[in-house]
Amino acid sequence: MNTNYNDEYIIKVTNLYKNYGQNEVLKGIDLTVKKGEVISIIGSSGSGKSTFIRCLNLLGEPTAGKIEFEGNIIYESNTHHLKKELEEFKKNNSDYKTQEKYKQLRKELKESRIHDFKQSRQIDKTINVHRQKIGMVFQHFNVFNNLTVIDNITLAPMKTKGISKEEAEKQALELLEKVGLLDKAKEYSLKLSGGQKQRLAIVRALAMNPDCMLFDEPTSALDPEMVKEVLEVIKRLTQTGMTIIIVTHEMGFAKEISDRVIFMDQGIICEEGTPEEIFNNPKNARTKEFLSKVL
Amino acid sequence: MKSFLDKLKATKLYVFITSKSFRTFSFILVIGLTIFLLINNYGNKEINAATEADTFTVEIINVNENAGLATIAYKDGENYIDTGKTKLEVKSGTKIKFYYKDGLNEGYNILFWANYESNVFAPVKDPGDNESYYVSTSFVKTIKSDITLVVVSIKETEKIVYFYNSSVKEHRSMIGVDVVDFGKDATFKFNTPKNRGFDFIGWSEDLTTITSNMEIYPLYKSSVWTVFRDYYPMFFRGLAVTLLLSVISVFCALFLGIILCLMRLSKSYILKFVAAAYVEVIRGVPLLLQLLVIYIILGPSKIHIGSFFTTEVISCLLALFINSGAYSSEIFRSGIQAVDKGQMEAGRALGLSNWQVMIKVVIPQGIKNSLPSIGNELVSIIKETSLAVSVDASIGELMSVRKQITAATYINLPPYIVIAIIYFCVTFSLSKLIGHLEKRLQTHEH
Repeated sequence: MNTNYNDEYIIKVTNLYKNYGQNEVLKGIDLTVKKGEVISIIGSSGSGKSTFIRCLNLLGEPTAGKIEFEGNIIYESNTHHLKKELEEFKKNNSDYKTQEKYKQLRKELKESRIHDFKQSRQIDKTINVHRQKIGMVFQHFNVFNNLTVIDNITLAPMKTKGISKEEAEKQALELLEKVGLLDKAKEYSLKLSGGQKQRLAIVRALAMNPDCMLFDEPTSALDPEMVKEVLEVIKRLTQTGMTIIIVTHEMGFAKEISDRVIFMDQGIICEEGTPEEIFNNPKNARTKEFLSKVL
Repeated sequence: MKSFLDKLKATKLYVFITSKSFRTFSFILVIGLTIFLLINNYGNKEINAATEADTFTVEIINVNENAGLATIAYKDGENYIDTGKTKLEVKSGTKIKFYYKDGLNEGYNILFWANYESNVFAPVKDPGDNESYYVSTSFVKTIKSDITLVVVSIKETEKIVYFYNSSVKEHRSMIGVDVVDFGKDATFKFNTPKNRGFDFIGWSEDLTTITSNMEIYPLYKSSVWTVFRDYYPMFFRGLAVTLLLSVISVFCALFLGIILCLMRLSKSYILKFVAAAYVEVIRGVPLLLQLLVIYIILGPSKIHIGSFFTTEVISCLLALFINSGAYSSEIFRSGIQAVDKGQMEAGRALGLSNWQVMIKVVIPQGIKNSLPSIGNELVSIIKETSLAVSVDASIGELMSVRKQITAATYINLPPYIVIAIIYFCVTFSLSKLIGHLEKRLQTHEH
């Protein structure tokens, strides 16, 4: 269906776990995103959609699992799994202390902990390079309130890529024209309406020339009449061949733009498939229940 | 009639006059105008009188023959305090000019001299008068035609009292005769400002019998208004010093506050601990104590910058700076923590580092959040400068003006009330102004 479809993956998530204290939010998620693919994630509130998408650029740090981006491992931790395995082993074997496997597991756990420690010290610096290629749009826009529209856009390219102010502004104005905000360039972003703020947030992410865009419920905080203008911008973006992962409650929109729809419930991926499969012919009982309520 | 009122209420003028901001402004305006008028009504003449009153002259009346080079001192409790006028050639009739700045601005009325070589301070008694000293003076700063003397203690048998302007026989002239009772106010009228520099000592005709039982001092006829009228240049000078001290210390404290706040928000545990310990210790110890400790440490060093920034002023500034720094760091911290977390997330998601987002996005918004509280900090520091009076009155801030006035007039309450009114006017109008700015900041946001 998508002309840019190929086998090369851009994001690969393996067995991802995320805990908030004792509360397990993500319980083992596997996902491979191919280049140019548009993926919608749907599901009820509290199913872990937003947590998952925030883990992809490590805004929320996962508890365990592996995330690869463009062939680079940006996060990897086995400590959580190893701990569980060790505990289970202890439970099942009363004489575990004498067994060879126990020693091996403990050794692995120790190594894993050292790896985690090293990773946590470096991750803050190394992740920035990857984040520059992963654009993110938030539910509450998060435009920089103290800056003008144009400064919002040029700040990151100037700081991270070292391009000149003139060049950054030229690029910003081009992007603003595409989303119809050219006349607001010199205004403070605080004065924009919700829809305008969200369009600005999208442009701000695009100014970094990302390889992939993450949308975290981009229209949930908007007035109904402003939803359309934002969706329009995202829709146009899908036509450029950008890789997009979008968490949304706009089922019609998800159906229209997606190559793949993922239904999440209680921290796991319940069902995934093409929009036709998910919306017209859901197999999972939970998916059926959810869709019958929202459609 | 009713329709007329309704029409009136609908007019823009009525809405404007009844609006809250207009009322606030007019209140401040009225206070400002009052102060302005008070200054204007009593113009140059009074100011001249005040500047004249900055100096006074002491005349040496009788000198021992062996006293050539002398040191002039005054007595404060048990100690003789050098006036700085040393190695003076003194003989009878020598006039020596003193400035209040010389440290003689407090209550005293007798100067002592010492032979310079022997350096022993001892009042040498007039051979002809057992109770009077041979260098003596007192001063009254105001020019008033009415002077009230209060008779504090007198022998019951004595009723008629003769008043002289000096305690020394050869130099005194009688200034009044009255029948007085114990505790009675005795009022005398003087035509000219001659009373300045007089020693208002009352004596009976037979000096030896009454003087020891009698204490008389001039009573300044006082009300809050007259004190303000007669001494307002001193009050305003005091206010200027107070404002200067508070503005300098708050301004410097802002930088300290930001540095401490950044230390506290950083990831290093050492920096965090140092900043937190500093803030907690400073906030947990009274400012007065900090002030005194710093003065005790700095005092002996006698450092000074120019004539205004003496050791006392510097230690006062330093204490206020240290104290205010701790408070403003907390203000900044709460301001920065009140910034939406999404701002940081959005910045990080773009690939900016923690510090880049902090400096470009979070801190500017945090500082904007904390501006009103910083203004309130200034207001409270204005009040806290009054503690400087406990270090040294020579700093000259508003509160210490009371001491100077009391030294000259022997009154306490009215100057305190004038000072209270001035503090209130300044702090109240400042906090109203800050409240207004705060509102404007908020309306800009929405």
